Amino acid sequence: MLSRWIDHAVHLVLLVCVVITLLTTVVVVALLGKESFLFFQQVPLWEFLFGTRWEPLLEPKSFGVLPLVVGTLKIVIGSIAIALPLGLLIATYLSEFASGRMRSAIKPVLEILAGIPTVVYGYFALTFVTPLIRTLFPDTQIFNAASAAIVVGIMILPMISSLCDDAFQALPNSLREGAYALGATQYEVAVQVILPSAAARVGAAVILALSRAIGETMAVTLAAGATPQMSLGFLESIQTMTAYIVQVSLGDIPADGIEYLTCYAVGLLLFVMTLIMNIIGNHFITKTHKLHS
Amino acid sequence: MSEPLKDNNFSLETRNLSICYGEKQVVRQVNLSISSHQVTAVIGPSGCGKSTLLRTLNRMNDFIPNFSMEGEVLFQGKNLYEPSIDPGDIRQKIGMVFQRPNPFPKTIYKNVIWGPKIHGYKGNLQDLAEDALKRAALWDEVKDRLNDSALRLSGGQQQRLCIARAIAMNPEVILMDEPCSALDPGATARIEDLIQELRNNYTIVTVTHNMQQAARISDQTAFLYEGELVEYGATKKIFTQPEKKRTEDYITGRFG
Repeated sequence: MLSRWIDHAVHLVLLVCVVITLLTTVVVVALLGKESFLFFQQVPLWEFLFGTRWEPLLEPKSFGVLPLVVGTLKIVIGSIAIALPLGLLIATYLSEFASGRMRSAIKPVLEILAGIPTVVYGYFALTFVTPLIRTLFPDTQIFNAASAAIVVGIMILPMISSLCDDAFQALPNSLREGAYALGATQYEVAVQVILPSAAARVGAAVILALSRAIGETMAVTLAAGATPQMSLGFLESIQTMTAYIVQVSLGDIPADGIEYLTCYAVGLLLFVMTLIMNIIGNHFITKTHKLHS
Repeated sequence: MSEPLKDNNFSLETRNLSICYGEKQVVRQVNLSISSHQVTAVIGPSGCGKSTLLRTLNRMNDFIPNFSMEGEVLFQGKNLYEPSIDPGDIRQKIGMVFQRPNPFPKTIYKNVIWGPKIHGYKGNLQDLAEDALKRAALWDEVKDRLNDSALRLSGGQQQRLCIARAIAMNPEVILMDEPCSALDPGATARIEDLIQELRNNYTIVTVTHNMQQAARISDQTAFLYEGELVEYGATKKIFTQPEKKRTEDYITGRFG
């Protein structure tokens, strides 16, 4: 009788936990939606999405979010350009070339890389990466997109390499045997059989990493600057969506003004972007699971 | 390296071959001479070492970390395990078909030509693919959809594709590790017919736990029991007048 009662109690506690999580999500989304709604009553949606000047704090005010989106995209593209090739090389080495001992030595190092606080990465960008870039390109501004993109690339590297490693390891060994039985070398098996066979899951890994890079805040706030602008250069100061939210949250801006509401609009856009990325990424993963089973 | 003996009609020979996985001995002192252009079946109960023995014939056991062996495996008179030998070269001449069909997740066409292509095949790849698929008795079923994914074929078709893939390398020997164990009876019959035809051009060594199959398709049969070669000879003789008591017990179904 007692054990039955405990069963019920456990069930209830677990259910409450789930409900709290769900409620939190609903409340956050509702709050984002409500405040954004107030914002879009004053600023038309198309002006926000397609305007090319972001100056909500200065007169004359302007609410075109594109400069922030461009800043974010620079970080995303730059970081993926670094993390994808490196991550694939690491994963290929770990999965196809490394001995068991080598593997168990390298994996924890990657996990440490993933565990470094993002503020440390930001500081590292500012005090190490930027000076390095400036010795190569003296015109580089103190705050610049390149430096932040590089450290965000290092930040998402463990994620990409471990997801790709999982993707390679999930392939049946019979696939490798089939290739080796045709006289293939390790290199040919890795590049021509394993990599293409895991392509969909590698794609999913990239998309999940993209969404992580979009949402990354601390490093870009510290190292990329606070100058929202439409430009193509990586060596100049930018501002990302996340960094803008930090800037407004920390400044002394009245909580009832339009300036304050911009935070929610930008936050909502950020949320939608990462949500779409995650949905696409998970879709990739389930699709390939079906293919293999 | 000495010239292979021209009048020697043995394609593969094992001499005092013993194989261990770690401490565990799986094959003991096996001497087996496999004739060219014949089908040799290796039979025996599960775990008797027949797959291990087969995989030693084209060095596919090299990938198993604690694998070790003693003795020699001679291919055309040369020891396959000599340090100067590149296992990749061996596997080009001694192909292999596995227990479960394992086509690459590429198109049918690319599956067939992948092997020749990585080794820099100079001739016409399309002709090569057609020829290999014809020899594997798959051409008529796939000729109109060579660019479809190989994974969309049925299990039996996939296995014949794997045979075509091996044939495209123009090997001397094709090793088959229970090639029908994952297939239904219809697909099994087709593969068995195919093996009969392939004998004209290739030396075939097949492992099977299915005695009827061994009796149907092979010229020579080797009976392996607990890692030892109990009896080896013409299939007809093994199945009608075995010399050893243990062989007789096994083929009459008294154990195994």
